[in-house]
Amino acid sequence: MLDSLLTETGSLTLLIVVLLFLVVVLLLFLVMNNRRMSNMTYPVYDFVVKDAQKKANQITHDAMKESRKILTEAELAGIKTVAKSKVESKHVEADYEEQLDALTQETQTMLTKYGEHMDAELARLTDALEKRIAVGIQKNENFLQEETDKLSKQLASTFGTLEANAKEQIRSNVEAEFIGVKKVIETYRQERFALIDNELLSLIENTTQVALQKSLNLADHTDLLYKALEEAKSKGSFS
Amino acid sequence: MPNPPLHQLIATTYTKDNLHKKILYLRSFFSNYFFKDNQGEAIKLALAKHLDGEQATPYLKDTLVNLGDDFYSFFNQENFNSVLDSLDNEVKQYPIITMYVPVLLPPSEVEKLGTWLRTNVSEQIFMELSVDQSAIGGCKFVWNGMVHDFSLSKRLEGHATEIKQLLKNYDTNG
Repeated sequence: MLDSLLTETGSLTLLIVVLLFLVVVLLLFLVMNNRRMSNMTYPVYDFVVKDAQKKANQITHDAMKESRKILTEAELAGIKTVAKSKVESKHVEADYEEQLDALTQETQTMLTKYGEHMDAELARLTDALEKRIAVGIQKNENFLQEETDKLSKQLASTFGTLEANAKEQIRSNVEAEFIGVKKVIETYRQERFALIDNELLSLIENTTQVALQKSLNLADHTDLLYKALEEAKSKGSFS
Repeated sequence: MPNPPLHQLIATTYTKDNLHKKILYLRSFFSNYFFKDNQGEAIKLALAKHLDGEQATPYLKDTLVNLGDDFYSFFNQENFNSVLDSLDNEVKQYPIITMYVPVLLPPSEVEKLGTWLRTNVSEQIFMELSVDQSAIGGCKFVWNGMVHDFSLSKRLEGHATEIKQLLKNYDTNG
């Protein structure tokens, strides 16, 4: 069985190889065929192309010639037009300048006239105003003078009254102050005397203490001590 | 009343301050005497030496040393602390008079004053003495919670009006 299988496999391989060889040969035949066909058709194509090229060149040459012609004509027309417009513009410029000068002159004349008129009016107005102001100032001065006189009289009267009132006020205040001060002094005097009276006793005690300490000996003290104790006993302090 | 021997201590002491000092001196003396080797020295002699060492005042020293022999024979090593404690507690119940005198009284005068009080007020009385110079003369004292002022300064206060009048009359007459 293995031998038969191997035999079948070999035959198949051989078949495949043969088929591949045939395909390669066919491809080579086709390539060669195409090459031959192209070699055969090349001169016709070349002729047509060259012919077309020639015609195209001709057309191009004609077109260029025509275009140069048109350009030349256009240039000439343009130059003519520019020259014409230059001349016309020069005329217009001259007219414009002439008119401008006239206008300027006219305007200047008018302005001068108006200026003179304005100056005259201004002078007249200023003159009138000065006169009015002078009159007004004079009136104001008179008014101020009158009012100042009135005010001075009033102030003099008022100050006089104030002075009299102030003097009276000061006098009465000073009198009241003096009366108050007298009362305060009197009160102080009485209070001091009362204080002295109150302190008099302690002053006497202190003085007595100092004096007796210096003058009393031990016997005197013990004597006073026992007298005090006897008095206490008699008054029932020890009961 | 404590034991009769101890009564000697109270009888010779008139102020609480002195009593406390005496009890302290006795306590320190007995502590030394009973627990150190004193070679059988006489107790009063030893006491005198001890009080000199404590710098006790001559008055306190004399009053302690001059206590009777039966006083010192009452104490021994075991009982001296308890006896002194009981004495201290006993005295706390005694009445106290607080006295303010104008000068510092010497011990002898304190003794006389104490004797007068124990004769005229209470035989168990103790004094608390203070010096108050403002009294000038006489004394003030506190007894049974009340202040009694029999000082000279009080008398002056009582005659304040007469004194002022006297001064005014003096001033008027020149």
